[in-house]
Amino acid sequence: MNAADAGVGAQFVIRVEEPFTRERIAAYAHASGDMSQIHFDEEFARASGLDGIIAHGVFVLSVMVETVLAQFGPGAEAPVVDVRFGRAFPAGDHLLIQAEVTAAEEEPGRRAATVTLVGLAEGDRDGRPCVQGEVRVVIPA
Amino acid sequence: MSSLREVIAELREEIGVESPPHVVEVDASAVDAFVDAVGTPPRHDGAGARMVPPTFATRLIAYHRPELYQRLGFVGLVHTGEKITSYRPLQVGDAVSWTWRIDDITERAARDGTALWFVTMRYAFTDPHASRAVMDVDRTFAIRDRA
Repeated sequence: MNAADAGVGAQFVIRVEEPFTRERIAAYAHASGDMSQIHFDEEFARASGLDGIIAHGVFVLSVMVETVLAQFGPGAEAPVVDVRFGRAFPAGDHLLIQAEVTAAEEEPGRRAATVTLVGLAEGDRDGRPCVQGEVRVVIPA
Repeated sequence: MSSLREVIAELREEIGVESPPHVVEVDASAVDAFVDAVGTPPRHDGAGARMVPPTFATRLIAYHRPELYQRLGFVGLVHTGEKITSYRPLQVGDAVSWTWRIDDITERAARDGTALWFVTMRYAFTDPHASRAVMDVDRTFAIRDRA
């Protein structure tokens, strides 16, 4: 499906195939420059009140934004990304992305859509969002 | 060693004070490393040019004020919100300038009664040649008192 052709109310759920392994989290830490110990030091993470190593909120957000933009086809941009971070995303889990187009506009030379986003850790039975917010998507016509 | 409340009081003095500009380059190898680490396929525009993820902006402000985070302590510090507003997309090869300021600090009581501070800060990116806004990153942290 090309989400650019979907109207207001269109919903999609995407399960990201690659889990957020410790190796991927460590690679993201190096690539992003965010070397907080909760992302690679199990003992420190537990001492911080977590159940173990967690993924960076912006790592999860980046996967969500890039995955959703890919649904809108080549050239899609996200001029506004506005989210809150909730539950920590545990290492080893899979990401589920729930998205819904809540507004759509035609503008000269381009189309725009507002998409609400929810990011969940698949293993969280309570279904508490790790990331929640919205992204404005602009697609060249 | 100063208490967390004293550190917060010092930070309140900085509210609205703009940092000096930092000039950074949107380096192709750094973008490649970031996209590889994110693990999603690279995206291209209609002309085939590589697109820079909007969240790459967070890479450009990494390592900023490490002493501040050291003083706040990482235990009890939680990243609670991020808003990235792009006035134009970042492009590989861009040289952009950013400044930083604290916009607000609010205090609330956590459920257990301990103090919880929300610190909102803005990183404002401009094109240093055209003096035009490129992007704003508004970031919020919550810090729980450990006293």
